Amino acid sequence: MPLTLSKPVIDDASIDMPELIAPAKDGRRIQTFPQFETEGPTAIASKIGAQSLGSRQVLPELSILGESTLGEQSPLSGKHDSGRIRVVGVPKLEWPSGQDPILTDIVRRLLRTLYVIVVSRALQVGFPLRGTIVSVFQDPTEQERKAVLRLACNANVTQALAFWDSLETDLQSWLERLSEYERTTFITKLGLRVHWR
Amino acid sequence: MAIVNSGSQSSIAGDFLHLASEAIRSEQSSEGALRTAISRVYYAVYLTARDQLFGLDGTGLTGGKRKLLEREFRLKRRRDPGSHDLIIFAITDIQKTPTLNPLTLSQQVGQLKEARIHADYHFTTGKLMAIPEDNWRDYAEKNIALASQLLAVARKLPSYKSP
Repeated sequence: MPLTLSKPVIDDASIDMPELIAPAKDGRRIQTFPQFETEGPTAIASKIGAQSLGSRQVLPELSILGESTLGEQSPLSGKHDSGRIRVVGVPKLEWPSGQDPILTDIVRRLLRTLYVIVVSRALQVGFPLRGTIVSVFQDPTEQERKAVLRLACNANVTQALAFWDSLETDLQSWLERLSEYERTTFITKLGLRVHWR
Repeated sequence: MAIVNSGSQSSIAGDFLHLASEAIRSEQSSEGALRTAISRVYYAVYLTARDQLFGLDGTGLTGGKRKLLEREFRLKRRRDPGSHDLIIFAITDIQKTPTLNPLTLSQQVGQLKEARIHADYHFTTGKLMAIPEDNWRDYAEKNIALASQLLAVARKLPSYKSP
């Protein structure tokens, strides 16, 4: 039985995936979301139905459990010319059912922030996130255990990697603001994985 | 008598990827072949990254450079590094450039490594449940696609310099 993720809350038909540029011959990967570079977040937001970006409306509110309260209950929404309500929501952050020693308070807090960074970026660029789930991965060969945030998306590999790459600056900036202990915890105990269709 | 190496590291990595692609193209491929494909494409990327950072066969990762990197690893992870860990860890130390995102690249290589662990070591339902696909062919196909993108980036990695 495969890993199951929460029910999609994104209406695919309402999202225009940004046009992607083919990988350059010199080995560079595609530039991420050129639309975003030229039009800015607000223009992109209007295309995906969000009312505003760069404000708190973009970020899902977090409950004390760290789960988004913005999912199906109160999605960002806008209207098509036809009057059809266009829904752009965010998937809830799902946690493993049992307790696990790796999921300490600090790891849970870092995972919640990582989730917010990812979801915020996804909304900015109209990236079709389908599910976000935390799981624990153990590497038996190197005695390594990690808490992993897995993203499932309705994108192809090129789009998924472009989105993943686009998180680098946000992640680097975030890490710079963390304490040494938190930064070390992030690098050693957390992982981010992206799974596409 | 020793085996003569007839290809460059780069061409061998390309071969690994090619063989893996053939495995998923063939309807006859067994689970063993598909698992092997996943394992090979991880090695194609991992070995390319290692050799770009530390020279062919990682021979540059010796002496003071190795000790320094291992010490940094132990300090951060509070355990001894495995050889794969050390290379993936070294990627995070590289300076970000417009075409290189070290933090996300190390995570992406980590995703391939995770798949290779599943492919090489896991047989029980409990362990296999963590795989985000319901068949080995799709899982192999996804990992080959990921590896083919990452290989191009790994080939551009600069030589490692201690921070």
